[in-house]
Amino acid sequence: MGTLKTFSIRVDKTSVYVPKDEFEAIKDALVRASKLQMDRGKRSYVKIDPAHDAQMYYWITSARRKRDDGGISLGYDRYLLTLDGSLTQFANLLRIPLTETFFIYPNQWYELAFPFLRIRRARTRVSPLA
Amino acid sequence: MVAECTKRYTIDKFLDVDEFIRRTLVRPTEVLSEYLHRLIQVNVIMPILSWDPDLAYLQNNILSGKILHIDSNVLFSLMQTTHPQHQFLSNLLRATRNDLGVQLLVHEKTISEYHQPIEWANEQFDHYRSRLRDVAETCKRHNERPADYLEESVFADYVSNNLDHIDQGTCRNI
Repeated sequence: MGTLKTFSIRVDKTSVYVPKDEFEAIKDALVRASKLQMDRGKRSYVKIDPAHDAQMYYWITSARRKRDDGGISLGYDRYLLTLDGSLTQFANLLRIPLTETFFIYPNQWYELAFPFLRIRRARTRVSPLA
Repeated sequence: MVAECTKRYTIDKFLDVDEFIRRTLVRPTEVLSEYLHRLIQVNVIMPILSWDPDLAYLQNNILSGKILHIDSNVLFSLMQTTHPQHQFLSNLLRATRNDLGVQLLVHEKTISEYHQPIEWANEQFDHYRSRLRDVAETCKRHNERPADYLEESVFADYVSNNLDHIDQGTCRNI
């Protein structure tokens, strides 16, 4: 558990039950999304077991809350930080608008969350991500 | 705000909002990126700094209470020091936790998913041992990267970090 401690990442044990019909539909969309991403040459294989991704999608979208003053970005209180490019295809298949996605890519998070930090650190001549 | 403006000004009649966001914010051209950057600096950031020099209000109100759930592919890049995203993600998560106070969570199901390929690699280790040793020797001799020889990133990272003692085996667990 060394890496998790290093980054102060807490382990969550919340139940991630997904109703059966929805589970199958979500898994189906995840597999099709990964196939689309593979057809675009962006990944080397189709997802064989999308159960975990389906659970994360269902659980995060169920548990997240939107801020009353939610703006164009970061409107929700929780996101999945991922490198999985096929989730964009997944969102397209489920017709999830860009402002309503449950996931965020690291470069997006950096751009959205750190302009404030970059400015603050720039004033002290220290880059936060140097 | 987007939904409100869309409704008030019947934006849907005139443009595809998703496509507009995609072209202007998600995948802008280089010229547009540069223009937006300068526009934001002049019209947004400078007034913000004059209003809230420490940016404490903005951080507390926009980022407070945010939770990031870490996916297994991010765990991989954190664990694998030779992963192309390793340094960026390590620094990003440290700054996210320490400077912004954002909560970082990983679900136990995600840890299980992370462990599957690690366990597979450990099981396959005996089968690949001689090849890994050859790759390590070649890389040492020519000062090359194991990732250029090994498709499996778990093995590539293992060889990179164990060039002189391949026989000891065992990929790192989280």
